[in-house]
Amino acid sequence: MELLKSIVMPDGQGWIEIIILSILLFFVFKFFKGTRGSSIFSGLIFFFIGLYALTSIINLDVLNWLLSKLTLYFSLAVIIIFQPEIRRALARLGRQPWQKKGISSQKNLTTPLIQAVDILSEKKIGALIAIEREIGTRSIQDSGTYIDTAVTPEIITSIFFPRSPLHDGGIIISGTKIRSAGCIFPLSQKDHSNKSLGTRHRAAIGITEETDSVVIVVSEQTGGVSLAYNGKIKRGLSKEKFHRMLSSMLNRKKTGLIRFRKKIDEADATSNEMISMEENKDEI
Amino acid sequence: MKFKAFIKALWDEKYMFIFCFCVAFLAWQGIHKNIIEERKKDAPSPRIESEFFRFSNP
Repeated sequence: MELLKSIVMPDGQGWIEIIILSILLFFVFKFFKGTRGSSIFSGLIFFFIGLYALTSIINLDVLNWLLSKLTLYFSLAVIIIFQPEIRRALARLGRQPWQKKGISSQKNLTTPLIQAVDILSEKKIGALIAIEREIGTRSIQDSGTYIDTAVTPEIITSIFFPRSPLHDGGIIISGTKIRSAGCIFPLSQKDHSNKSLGTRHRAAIGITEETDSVVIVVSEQTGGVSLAYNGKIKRGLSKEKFHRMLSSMLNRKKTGLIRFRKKIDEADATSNEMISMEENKDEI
Repeated sequence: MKFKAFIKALWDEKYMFIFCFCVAFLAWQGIHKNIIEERKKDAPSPRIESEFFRFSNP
């Protein structure tokens, strides 16, 4: 009863503060949702905030003092635990509209890429092709072998041909050229419930979580073609659908994240094959 | 359009928002109480105030 009495009813300003706080918390929770650290984060937040409020309200001074002193260590722990997520958030900040300069159209790439993917899919040769957009992929390019060559179906198929020295890893296309092959893409940090998702697909999602690259994946087992973008992957695409999606994306001079996400979400509603890596459709 | 999407995002996950609201309310209570206590500590004591009043108005 005393606990209830000690609760202060906020005034107008207080309510505004609470609403702003809850919106901030909501988006932080949403950002972490589906990641490996989401449960740890919810637990820590609820435990820490709950205990802090409780100790303040019922005047448990020692505990309150201890908690306030632990804040610094708590912030450090959060940075260490959520290092991948924080990195992803900072990468997202890098693609804000006011910072976009626009990129040169990559529509010339559509035909050779489609031809290469058709051949790879037909022969069931696994492939991972990333097309760089506005955010640079230099650090990932450095993990592979630098090759500065034109995008042709012959070169792409010969790179991914089994036993070729560069067939392991992925290739990165920057501008209208293949910049690097045999690159190690970062694996997705999200919790994948779908066991059928192989390392190649996870790598495709991983790079799209950190950059705005478009990634094409050809499955080695089934020859199925998938397209990943912005942390989402559309699997088992038919030839026509893949051609349509890829050409519409590469013809644009700007990333058009929101439009693409809408498109992929619409496809999600109609197709059960879609594997959503972000359950919530957050706005960028 | 952005505002509509924002409202839709809130509505789609209203339960999570309610949970966040509860956490924010609790946090506000704690922070508010601590701020008031800090203000009380920082405020000059009545004795010093009266001294100051005595010197400034002889």
